[in-house]
Amino acid sequence: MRLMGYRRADGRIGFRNHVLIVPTCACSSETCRKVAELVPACVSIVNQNGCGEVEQNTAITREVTAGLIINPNVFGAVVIGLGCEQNEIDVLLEVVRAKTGKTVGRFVIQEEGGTAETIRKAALFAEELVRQASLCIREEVDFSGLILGTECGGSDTTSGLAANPVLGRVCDRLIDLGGTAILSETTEFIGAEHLLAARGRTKEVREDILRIVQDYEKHLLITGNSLRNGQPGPGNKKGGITTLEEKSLGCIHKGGTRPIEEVVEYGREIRKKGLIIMDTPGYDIASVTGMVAGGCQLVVFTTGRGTPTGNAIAPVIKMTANYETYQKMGENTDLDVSGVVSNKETLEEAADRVLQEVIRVANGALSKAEILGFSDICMKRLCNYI
Amino acid sequence: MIHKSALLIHPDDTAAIVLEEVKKGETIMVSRENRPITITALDPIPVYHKIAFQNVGKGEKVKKYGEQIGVASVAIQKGEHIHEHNLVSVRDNCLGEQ
Repeated sequence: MRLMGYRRADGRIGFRNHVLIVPTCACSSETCRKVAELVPACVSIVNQNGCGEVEQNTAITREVTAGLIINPNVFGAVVIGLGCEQNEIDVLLEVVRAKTGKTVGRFVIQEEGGTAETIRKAALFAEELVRQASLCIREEVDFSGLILGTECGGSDTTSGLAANPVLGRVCDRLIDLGGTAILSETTEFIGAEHLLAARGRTKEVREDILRIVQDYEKHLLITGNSLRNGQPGPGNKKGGITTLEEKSLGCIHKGGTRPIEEVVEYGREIRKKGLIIMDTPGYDIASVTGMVAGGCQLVVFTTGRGTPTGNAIAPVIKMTANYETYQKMGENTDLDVSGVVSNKETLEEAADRVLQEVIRVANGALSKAEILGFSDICMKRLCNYI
Repeated sequence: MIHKSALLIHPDDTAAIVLEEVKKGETIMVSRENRPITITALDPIPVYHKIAFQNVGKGEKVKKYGEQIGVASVAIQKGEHIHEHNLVSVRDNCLGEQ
């Protein structure tokens, strides 16, 4: 099956063609929502950050908002700021300009003199962007421009048993075709980080893998929380999981078996090919947001118990190996690989099917979360607001 | 004869996962690189628990997902249930705790 994408002027390949209305901060989020109501062909996001935060958190907010705009699934964007926020609009736009020449509108509520005027101007700008975006045509592209994010959430026994092994095989195949896959959720590595580190391509990568796990554990210990004690829990043991390594490997296996080329910070743009680790929380929405800000155009998300979450600009393909979940939450679940658990299908056969679906979705087939218009966004934080 | 089924996630694994509840003495069919292999259960095995696909000596690695998930605390025979009674974690963590 051929892969068809939008070849952007900046060289990146997009698999969607969104016009994104982006708030720099929480104060301009409602205004962005109103613009998207007026111009339904756009997508907007809620930004709960961008002000009232420590400088390190502003840096994360800036990197993620810029990353979402830069992502090649976005044709163009309209950025709306308040005027006094820490995530200053002109600093943000400079970060974007350094990476891409795509059209980005700029509107500031305090400059325009209120929300009605800002909404009016931003909506007119967005309407023209939507018209221009509609002229884009897909062309055949190879896998080297595709970055697939992986995620697991609402996990149960079937996740580690079948869904994650299937996704791991999909990642292996994608990488062998020249593409890139992201393994994230640093908190899920705890217990098996040494095994993961051994797969690092270089000494630097191996040390980085250990470092991000160590830093995360230290960070959580500040609040008196250990993710290691009492794991695996009684529920896990009843379900057959014996050691912490086994539990963590069940998650890690969704990234496949290829060597790890690089470890990147949360939301940082991904430039290398192959298997990449991004340092993200295990928290699903924050993890997906980080990977999409880093440039991934699609995400495959394994779930045991089911989840409706999506992402504003990237398809999030939900896959379950739990037959009951697919029956009850089929509305929110794209793929059923429960046949592996009931011995009707091998891991390889399931992986073949999933890869075909990934290509179909890349080419334009809508995922369930997109059909529902779910635009979940959340950014990792280092500490409380100010 | 109808066999119970188990899944071998990686061809190098020493533990397979049973996909249904297994009674002692029942035979289990596992596919390894497209070749079917049968094992006789030496213990009752609850659903989704591990069964030894090969003998594992005391102190040797037990593998699942192609990686070491721990070591055998006692010698394990092919067909035995693998869990807390014969598998222990290799205590190795970043913070240097024991």
